[in-house]
Amino acid sequence: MASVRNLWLWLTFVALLALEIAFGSVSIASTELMSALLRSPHADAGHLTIIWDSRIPRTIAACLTGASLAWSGMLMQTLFRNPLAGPSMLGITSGASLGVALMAMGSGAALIASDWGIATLASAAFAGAFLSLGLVLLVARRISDQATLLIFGIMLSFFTSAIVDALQSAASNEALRSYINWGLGSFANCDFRENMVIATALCLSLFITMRILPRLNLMLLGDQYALTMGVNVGQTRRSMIVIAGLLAGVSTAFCGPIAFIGLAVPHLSRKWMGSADHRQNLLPNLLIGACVAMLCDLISRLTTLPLNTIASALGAPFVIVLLLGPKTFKSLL
Amino acid sequence: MKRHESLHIENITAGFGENLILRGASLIAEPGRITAIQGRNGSGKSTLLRCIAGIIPIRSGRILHGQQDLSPLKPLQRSAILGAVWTERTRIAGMTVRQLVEMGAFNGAWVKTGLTRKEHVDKTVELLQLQSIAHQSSAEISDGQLQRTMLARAIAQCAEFLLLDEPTTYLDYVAKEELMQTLKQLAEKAGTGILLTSHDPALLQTFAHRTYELAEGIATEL
Repeated sequence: MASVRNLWLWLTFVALLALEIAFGSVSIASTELMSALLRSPHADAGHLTIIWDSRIPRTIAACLTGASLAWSGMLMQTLFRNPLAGPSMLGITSGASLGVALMAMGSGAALIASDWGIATLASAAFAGAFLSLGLVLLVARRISDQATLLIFGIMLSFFTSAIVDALQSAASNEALRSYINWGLGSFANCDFRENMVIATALCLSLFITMRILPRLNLMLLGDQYALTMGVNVGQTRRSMIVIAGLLAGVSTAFCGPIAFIGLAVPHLSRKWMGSADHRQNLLPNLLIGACVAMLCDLISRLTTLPLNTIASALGAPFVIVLLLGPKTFKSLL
Repeated sequence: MKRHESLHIENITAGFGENLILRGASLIAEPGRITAIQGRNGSGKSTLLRCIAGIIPIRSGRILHGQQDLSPLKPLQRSAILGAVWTERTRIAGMTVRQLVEMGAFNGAWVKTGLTRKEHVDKTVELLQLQSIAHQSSAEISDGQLQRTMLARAIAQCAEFLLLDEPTTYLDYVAKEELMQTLKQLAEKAGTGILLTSHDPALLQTFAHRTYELAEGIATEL
């Protein structure tokens, strides 16, 4: 049964992959698309550039980021045993935002205007995300209560948001624009190098995940049970925080703070598989994450609306219907 | 094979901040026997079990299994000696009763039964008569069924001792009797030592081999 469900996900994934490459703001006929994809000598130079330098890297970025945020969200929800937890809960996303805000509206404005603009923003986001993560890890070592850690993460988000607000109120229009653009989210900034960084983070995270995967279901029962069943709870929690932080931090650095995917995809995955078992949900969660990110990107490109707007506007109602069930939803209307 | 050695709790003190809850509590729990701890609310029964399980650190004293001190053991090693069912009711939507029971097999101690993992889990599900609800979501079962499920999960752990924090709370009289009968059989047939806390003196009088009263941080055998 699980393999049939996975097959459907693979088919959806391949279909969206094809759509992402085939469609965009410039329409390309199917024969020309094929010759550009195959790098035929007769292929149009413009089409080659669009396909290989824009659509393919962007599609890969969507897949990698979607999968990263989805797994990060799944781990956060398990760690806090809270269905509302997401990558932004540990203050990682807001830490990244603070890094970017400091750079864009502080001393780094000149750097952003240079050829190193994206690398500068990404480095700032990295630094911010990992500073927050370090702080959270430090607190997690001393606090065993998950609710307190969750509140700490949320408070950290508020605190960093306050600094960002203060910076915004004093920033120049240009600096404000580069910060807002990053905040709207986009996969368009990712080229081969950026994708390699995200892919490396994802591979590393999945490697650590495989080591702790059998323990994750036990963590759902809470620390007391997990400990008495033989789980080294402290070490497992730290591994989960590091993976979730790395995935969310890297994705946010390059693609902006993308809402919704990390929170909603784990729900979609569990619903689709009919199980909360992490071993069954790993692959579906990654695939659904990639599919949702590609779908949002596709709609964003066709409508020219920002990625975050699409993700939230389409995603939230969809998840509400899915969670309530079509019948309950109809009875509400 | 079980080691059939007693659990010795020797003079343990523990508490939260300035508030000392256990002030030199000592007791012995034997394999194949039901040992009960009774006491008023707030007397420290749950704290005592959590100390034994390694969840709350002890400030002084020793917890020995035979000659082996449990304090330096890692959670995985400790899980082969102690399994537990806490008062916390944990229902996970998307986890079936069987999946919950199977979690107990995580520590790998089932290998000593000579069965495969699946056979071991099936046998444990049967032992607690959970076959009819094995594939039902743990979010949809009754309190009594959940308690039996959590007990089955702890049994699947193949530990030498089971720590049960008020296992009969929320159960009606018949369900209480049935649960205690199951524990009695488990102790007698498998040689598992049971250490439980309870508020029910009548039930303890029928089933417990040894009973301690915990008051002011000290355990006294009745």
